Amino acid sequence: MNNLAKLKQAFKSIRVKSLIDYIKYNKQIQLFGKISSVVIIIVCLFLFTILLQKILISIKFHEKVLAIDQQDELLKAQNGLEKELKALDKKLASKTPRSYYLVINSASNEFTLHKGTQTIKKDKCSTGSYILLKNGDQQQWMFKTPKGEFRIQGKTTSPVWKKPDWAFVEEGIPVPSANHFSRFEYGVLGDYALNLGQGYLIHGTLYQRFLGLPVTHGCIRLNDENLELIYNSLSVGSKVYIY
Amino acid sequence: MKLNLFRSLHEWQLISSFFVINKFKILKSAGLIILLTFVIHVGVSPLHKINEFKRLVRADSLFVEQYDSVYNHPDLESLVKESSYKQALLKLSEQDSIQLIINLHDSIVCLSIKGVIIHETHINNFKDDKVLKKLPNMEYVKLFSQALKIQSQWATIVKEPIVVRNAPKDTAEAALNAYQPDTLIQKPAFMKLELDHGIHIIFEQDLNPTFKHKFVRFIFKAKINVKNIYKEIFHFIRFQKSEYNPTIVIKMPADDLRAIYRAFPTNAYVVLNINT
Repeated sequence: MNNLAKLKQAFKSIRVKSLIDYIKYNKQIQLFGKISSVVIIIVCLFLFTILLQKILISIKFHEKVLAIDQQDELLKAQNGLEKELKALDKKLASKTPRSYYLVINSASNEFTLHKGTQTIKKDKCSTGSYILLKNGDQQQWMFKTPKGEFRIQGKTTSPVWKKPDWAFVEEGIPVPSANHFSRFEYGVLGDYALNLGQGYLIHGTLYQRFLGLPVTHGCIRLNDENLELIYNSLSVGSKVYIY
Repeated sequence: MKLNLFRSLHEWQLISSFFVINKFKILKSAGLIILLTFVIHVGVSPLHKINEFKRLVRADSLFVEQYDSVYNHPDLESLVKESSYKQALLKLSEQDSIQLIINLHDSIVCLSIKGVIIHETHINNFKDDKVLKKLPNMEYVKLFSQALKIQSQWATIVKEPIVVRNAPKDTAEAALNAYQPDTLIQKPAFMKLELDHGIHIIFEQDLNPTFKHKFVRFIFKAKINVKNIYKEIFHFIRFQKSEYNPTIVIKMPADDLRAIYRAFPTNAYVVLNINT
């Protein structure tokens, strides 16, 4: 008898528990239903907005086709526009140099040599590293290749590099006097150098494995073969575009 | 007199009790009405933009005088738009710095200096704007026969990947950090340009292979959407006209996107050809 009472109580508690679970579950469903209905309303309103915009735009732009009685007038306008386009094309084409010019992409470290509309060569090069070298609070140097249109200002063979102050600061060596012999380095710039002005050069390199990487102090480095091609192709005054 | 007062008091009590009982229902319907008004407020925003473009044309009396009404004929649409594009390119060639050209007709984006194309990339996919696409020839010529100035720009990549280095104390320290190109870290590239007349251009990299790329894209888009919603709510609360920004979305290779973003200056000009 005692056992039976216990069993009954146990059944009761299970029933009560399952009822509570059911209510909880039911509440969860209700909450889920509310949230989903809000989401559906928002999505519907969003779609309605887009639809409304599309309808209004098409209504606004629904215009009558212009009635032109004389077909000649239309033909005349068409011919006039075609002529104008040809003249504009001619003017635009005249902007591109007919001789050799060089384009440098400093983001992908690539150069392209063009002659008029023709591409002569596309290969790797190295441009500025974007390193900002700080020597205390007094001095700082930014190693980036300038962007824009430049012209070749001079050409030299077997160039000698006169090391500027930053080259010593970067190596952790004391800066020597202006014309000290340690400033002059031979053979490090390759066989040729083309001057872009403001101290920037197109030259060769001993570190050919770094070509295609942004590692220079602002100059443009090329391999020996490309340097020779560019030296022979570009003359003083030729355009160089850097971006 | 007393009876009237009692009656009005009784009515007032009735009304207030009605509001108390149906509080949630009233709040719900008020919310729905506000939401619907907001939707209509946003929905009509393209009309404001179209009217703005029309006003822009009307304000320039010299342009209206010189413009031949024959050019409004739909048969001439392609030629008129091509002519506006070329005119804008010619005007752009007078600028000294690097400028951007977006040609949706040929699916290309170019960089140019003084009329010389220095970089050209193919657009893999784009989504043009419904207002700009259907713009009448007259408005189109007025807007796009000249380069548009970039009012603001922002991207998920830096304009200049500057790495700050302190000078080494000696040769041993210098040898440790020699030639370590930090600038090679390539983050996912997404960019937004805001041009004159409220025209927006969104550039996205075409491939998003990793979760990081997808996440950056999600955050980029979310930022734009949140900004737009915030702006619309702000206008709605202040009873101001909603602002519609014609937006063009362009997908292109990430490397080209980086090169383009890093190339043009902050106040660059953009030439658009939306003759699709």
